[in-house]
Amino acid sequence: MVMIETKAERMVINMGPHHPSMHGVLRLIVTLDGENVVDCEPVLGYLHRSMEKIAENRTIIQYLPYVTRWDYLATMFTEAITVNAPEKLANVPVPRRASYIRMIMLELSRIASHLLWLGTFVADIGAQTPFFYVFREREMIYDLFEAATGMRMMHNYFRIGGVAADLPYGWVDKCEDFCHYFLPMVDEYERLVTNNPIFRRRVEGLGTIGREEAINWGLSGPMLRGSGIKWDLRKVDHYELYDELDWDVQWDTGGDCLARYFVRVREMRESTKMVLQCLKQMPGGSYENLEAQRMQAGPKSEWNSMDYQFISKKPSPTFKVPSGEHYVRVEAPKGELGVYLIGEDNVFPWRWKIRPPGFINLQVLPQLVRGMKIADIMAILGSVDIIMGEVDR
Amino acid sequence: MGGIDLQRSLVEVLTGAGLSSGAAKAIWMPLPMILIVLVVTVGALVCTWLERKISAAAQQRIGPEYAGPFGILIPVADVAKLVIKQGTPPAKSDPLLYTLGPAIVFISVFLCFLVVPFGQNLLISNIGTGIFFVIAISSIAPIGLLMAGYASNNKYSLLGGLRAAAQSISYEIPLALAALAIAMMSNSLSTIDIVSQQADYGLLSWNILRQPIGFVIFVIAALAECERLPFDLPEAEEELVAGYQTEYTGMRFALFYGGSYANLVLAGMLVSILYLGGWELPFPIDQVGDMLGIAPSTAWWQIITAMLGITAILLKTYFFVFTAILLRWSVPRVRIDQLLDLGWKFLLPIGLFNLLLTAALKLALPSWFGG
Amino acid sequence: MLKFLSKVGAYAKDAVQAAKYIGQGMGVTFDHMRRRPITVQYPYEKLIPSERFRGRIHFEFDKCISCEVCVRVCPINLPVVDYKFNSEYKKKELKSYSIDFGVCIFCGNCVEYCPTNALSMTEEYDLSTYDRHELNFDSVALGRLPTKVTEDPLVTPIRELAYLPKGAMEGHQVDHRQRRAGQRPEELMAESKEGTEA
Ligand code: SF4
Ligand code: SF4
Repeated sequence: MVMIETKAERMVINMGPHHPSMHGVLRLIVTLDGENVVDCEPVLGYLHRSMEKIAENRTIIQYLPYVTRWDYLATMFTEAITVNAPEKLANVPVPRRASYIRMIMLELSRIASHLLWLGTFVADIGAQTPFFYVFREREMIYDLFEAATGMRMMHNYFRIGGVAADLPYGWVDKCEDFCHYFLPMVDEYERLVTNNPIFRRRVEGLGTIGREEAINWGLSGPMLRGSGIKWDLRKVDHYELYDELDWDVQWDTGGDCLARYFVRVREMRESTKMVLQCLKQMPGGSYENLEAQRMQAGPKSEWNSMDYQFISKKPSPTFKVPSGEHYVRVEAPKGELGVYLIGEDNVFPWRWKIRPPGFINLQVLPQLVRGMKIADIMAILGSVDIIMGEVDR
Repeated sequence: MGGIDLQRSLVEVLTGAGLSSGAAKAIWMPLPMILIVLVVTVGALVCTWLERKISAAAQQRIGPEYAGPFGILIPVADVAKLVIKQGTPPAKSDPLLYTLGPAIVFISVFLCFLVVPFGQNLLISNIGTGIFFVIAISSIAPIGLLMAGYASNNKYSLLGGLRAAAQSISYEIPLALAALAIAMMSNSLSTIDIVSQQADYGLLSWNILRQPIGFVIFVIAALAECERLPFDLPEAEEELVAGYQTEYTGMRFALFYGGSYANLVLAGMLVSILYLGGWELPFPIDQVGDMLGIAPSTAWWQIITAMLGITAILLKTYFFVFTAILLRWSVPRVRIDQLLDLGWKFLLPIGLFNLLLTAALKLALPSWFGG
Repeated sequence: MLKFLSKVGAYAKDAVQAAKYIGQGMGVTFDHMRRRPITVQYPYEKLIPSERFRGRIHFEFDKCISCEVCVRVCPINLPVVDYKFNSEYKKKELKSYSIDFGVCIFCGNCVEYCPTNALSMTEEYDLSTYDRHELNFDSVALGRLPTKVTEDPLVTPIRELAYLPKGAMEGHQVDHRQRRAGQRPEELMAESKEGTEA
């Protein structure tokens, strides 16, 4: 298109850390030419709390309550990685039942995270109402979490070798109820959002990342899967017991914001199905059933064997991280959440390096928004799905 | 053409009481103005309450509940709060423009109500330019927005002000084109004539049936003129914090706030006048009167029809307001280039086409499209 | 000309489709207007905290053996255990114990690891004061029990999802005394016994 050449002075505006649509305390220094974005420079560190350094003088047990403050929307994942790292280093076995409970919690947490993402993403491009709808369902998940763990967000539920406590009475039933209730709700969100012409025009073809590029930037999670790469650590790493479930990696080839939207919405559906499967396949079934079997069969029965425990052995407060180093990762809702752990046979880890997905995914932002309109910054940033708690740590 | 003439009645009463007719007219003069200002203010306040209640209902919340029955007193509390709040102009702002901006916006909206009738004779002045007066005056508002944006010494405000100007210029034209098609059909610009031309067959003679395309254009353009979602770019919270009102508080903000809701009421009234038959009921009331054998000049019958008329126009207006509010809470916001595209590349050509079509139909079917 | 017309046709189709989908979206929001509000009108209504809820900590002075495990497992070594070694009995004598709830994050580690169960978590969550030092609870304040939501006559208690009967999704619609989902293990046992006998 032919445009009249105008030379205007560029305007530098400062978005954040207190901008209404900045997620958390991200700050963007945006150079504008009229409505067009010329350059964008993210400034981080407003929420830096030395999470890695703190880990170096806390025992794992002491550190566990901290980790939910990394990514405070997908809390179960941070706990999972925090217990997985020393677990793998010290070769602590995890009972099957505990593993199933973990998977249920992780998938519920994934749904909660994606729900909030959906709300903020759509709110970022102007529709406020879905935000309230997703909170309705998210509150239900948090009700379930509260019943099982004692807290809505800061669960402190995972333990080295299992989880802190078994599921309470009736929890399995209610979780099933939730899953059946939730699927039609996703349809409802989709009716409200997916085909809305304004929404489509705002996100289609926006912030496109190619396949190669996505790999080269080190993206992970829905950012990567939205660009046509079928990469999901649950399938790649075979951790927990995900292999026993029947599920598919959700991906899309568009590479734009719409593709990422689709990936996340489909992941919510898939996770719901996985939770339902877990509830069905869990060794011992619901806790009340397990109790009944134990009462009936006596103390020496198979119902008291390792498979049916929620934890292999309660970790002692002086649990030592053995010497050695390794990298463990889980597929968090935002992408690959990893921990590089170096132990030196001490109660404190020697090094605790966190690889937060949001931080890595965020680096692609400036190149995505360059040349776009100012309103697109919000849409693209929303589709990247960052949480400053884990970006800054 | 019936309808009560309040002015004449009042003047007659006063001259009967021994006043000269000039003095009686002078007493009459400010009354409708004050009345209109009050009615519009209350209308705008009701709008803010509706906005809260409807958005709450759409989001499964309750909304204001304890301030009066159903929280109806919330707007009063709002106004009281804004009035007593300290205004804090930002440093290095332009004090004159900073104050003038909201005033211009507010005044221009209220001026438009000069020609908006609530009933046959219930308007301040039936000037010949009627509908074009509204369009002309309402396009002063963006100057106020631009002033506010510029004077605030804030980049977000400036961007918001510029957006407001761009948006209102591009949507003024389709709005005018849609109104022009109506004016063509009714052979007049006067709001009264436009309504009376829709009076004959009740619902069937409303302009919405004869001008469906024009109706759509007008509604979209009116929403854009009101700066309501999906077209609320000048104050897009997610992008520009609050656009031109970022730096405003207190009474100055109240002017913006009140002005925007009064504008919504205005848009609703215009839509009902131009397309939904104004104060006409869905059935021709005069014929009902004939059937019942009541002379159109009977006083109580006139009062009843006037009452029904006011109710009808308010219902129509608030139906539009309701739709606008529900729309606001259902859809995302368009982008600035998409907004301008929609205005220039979609509404403008369609508006022109609609005008041509109306002209052609007027020649072909003069009885239906106003010969 | 034909090309132009087909373009116009496509345009019109687009517009109609757009209107349809916007209408569909508005249908969803309109439908919500007839649903019951889900918000909990705090403080007139309150959710009943779950059984495992980790609220303000309760402390039993007599049970504590001053072992300081709670201090060691606390992320910030928060509990203050003030004791003196009594050489006569060869035992530690607890003099005072305090937790500052302005700093505590209610992680529950201390409760979990206390060897004598001197610590437990209550359902009290609304700790608000005008001065943060008032949140530093000593052993007397720690020994108090909170009022129950269900026993407060001014409050309508509402249950959380996990404690509703099976099938119910919303706390407002269910009386809080109704039995929650899931059977007791004894009932399950009785059922399975019946099954084997029959
Ligand atoms: S609840 Fe956690 S933070 Fe609070 S005192 Fe106990 S261990 Fe420390
Ligand atoms: S762990 Fe329990 S017994 Fe030991 S000092 Fe703490 S409260 Fe007392």
